Amino acid sequence: MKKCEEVLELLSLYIDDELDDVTAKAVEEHVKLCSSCKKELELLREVVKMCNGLDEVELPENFNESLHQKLISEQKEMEENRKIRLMEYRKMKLTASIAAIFILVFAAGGLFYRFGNLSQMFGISGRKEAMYYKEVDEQNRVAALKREDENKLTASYDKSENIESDNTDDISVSATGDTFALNTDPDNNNFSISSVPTETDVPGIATNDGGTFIAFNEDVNVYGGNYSISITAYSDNFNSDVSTINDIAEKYGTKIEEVANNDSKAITAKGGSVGAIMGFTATNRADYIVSYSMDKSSYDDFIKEIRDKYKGKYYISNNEEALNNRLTEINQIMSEFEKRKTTDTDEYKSLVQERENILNQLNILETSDEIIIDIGIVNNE
Amino acid sequence: MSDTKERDLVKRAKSGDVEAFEQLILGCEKKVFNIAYRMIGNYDDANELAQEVFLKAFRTIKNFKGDSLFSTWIYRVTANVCLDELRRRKKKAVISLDEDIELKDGEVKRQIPDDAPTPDLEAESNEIKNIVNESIRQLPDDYRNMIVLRDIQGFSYDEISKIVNCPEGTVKSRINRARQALKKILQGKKELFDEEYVK
Repeated sequence: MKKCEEVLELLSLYIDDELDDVTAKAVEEHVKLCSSCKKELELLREVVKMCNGLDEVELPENFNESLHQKLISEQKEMEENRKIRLMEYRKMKLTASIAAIFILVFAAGGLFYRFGNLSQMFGISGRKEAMYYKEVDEQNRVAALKREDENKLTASYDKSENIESDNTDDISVSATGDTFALNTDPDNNNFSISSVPTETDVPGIATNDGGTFIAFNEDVNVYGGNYSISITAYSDNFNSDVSTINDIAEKYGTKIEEVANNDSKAITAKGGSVGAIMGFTATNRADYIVSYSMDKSSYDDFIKEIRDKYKGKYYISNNEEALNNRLTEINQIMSEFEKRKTTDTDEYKSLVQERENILNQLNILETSDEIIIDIGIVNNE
Repeated sequence: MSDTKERDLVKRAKSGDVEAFEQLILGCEKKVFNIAYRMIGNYDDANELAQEVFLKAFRTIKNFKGDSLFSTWIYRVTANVCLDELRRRKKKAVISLDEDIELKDGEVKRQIPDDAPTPDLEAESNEIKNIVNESIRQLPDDYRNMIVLRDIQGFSYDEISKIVNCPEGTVKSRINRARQALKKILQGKKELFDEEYVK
């Protein structure tokens, strides 16, 4: 015979017909004889009945309409996110073809420059890491510029073919749409290389009188809707510059994070996860990285103060400028197409897309509440 | 809806096809709404909540693996959204709540009614139904969920265990306790009712 305790546990199942025949029978038997359990069963049945009796309510009239609207805008948002990701990819290509302007000035005493057969390595920063090797002939003149990019394609620029030079100091090398100006100063072991986008003007080039200089490569990253910029400083007065730059930055923004590490692997790995610190090439790992968050106007002021502080020893490239130039260009080309009524072509369509992407980027830049500035300082002492 | 039709719609919905998604949910909209209504106790809130359920489902449909009926999955989302919302509201209310409501000997630690605005009683003109409604709202969230799914919506034990993602044994004992708890609340109300009436 079952005990009351057991039976009480089984009442719901009994009501719902979830018991096997044997157990159900046992419950029945008990209930016949036990008045308290009987009462309990009745009450429980009553409760279930009352709940069953509750009416189902109707959907509100505008339910489907309202839901439809929300689904449509959700769908749009998902498309946008997809586009932004696509845009990031395209922006990588865009940046590569526009080519970030990068100036390297090595301190007097030349860390890397060697005569003879040894090639000189320096990096061009930008999302696409490309290594440029300079080969010198017996007279220490640039014989060839070799470039090796990630796909291990070797494009070599042979002096005899494409290198034009008015004097031995300035050598222009052009091939496949990229133009490079190689400026050598044979007296001291300094040289610099700048890559020049074929269509746009070359902004000013910093002088190379040695000492600290700041190279700004505004490497733009649209990451999760935030606009981020990375800045590289090559310092021969490391500790002093670290505190100076921090002091200035703190006036304009809030420090987010800070990494001071000699382990260059750790830094590039971390840079990968932040997603914005990508301007560092094989030869130039930052010894110190700090991130600040600023709004655009503060950022402009910050740059102004850095310029003042490091007068003459800075260089900054501005992708916003490049984007705007490209936009003008696209508009021109598009009106050509429209004049000739050839707007059906894939080319035109991709221009439309590109234009939209650029406008989007510029819009994000303008409307970003927060710009993340990744400042990397390389110890060149 | 046939199996293959559902699978096809699911596939399209996963790639962001709003129309396909709307077809999928046609059959369960009313149920979802009613579950939300009984859980949250308020018609307008239920409207918002139900829409949130479908929106969430649309966003996360890639997680639906097809190992259950689509509707079962939707009801699971519903239950979760409702429980989350109830939890969220409790956090806002500055009330100390009793902890785990374990029915040991039929004792119910009555939870203080949640912070939701007074429920709409427009659907229930019947006095008894009002009382039942109110009593259900006084149940702890988990028990309320059981009553809504089993005794109001009529899901089977098996379906419920899939919806709440619990073993069937747990579901069985929980339903029993939920009903006992509800019984106690109703009995308490009946006493008050009788008292008033007698006066």
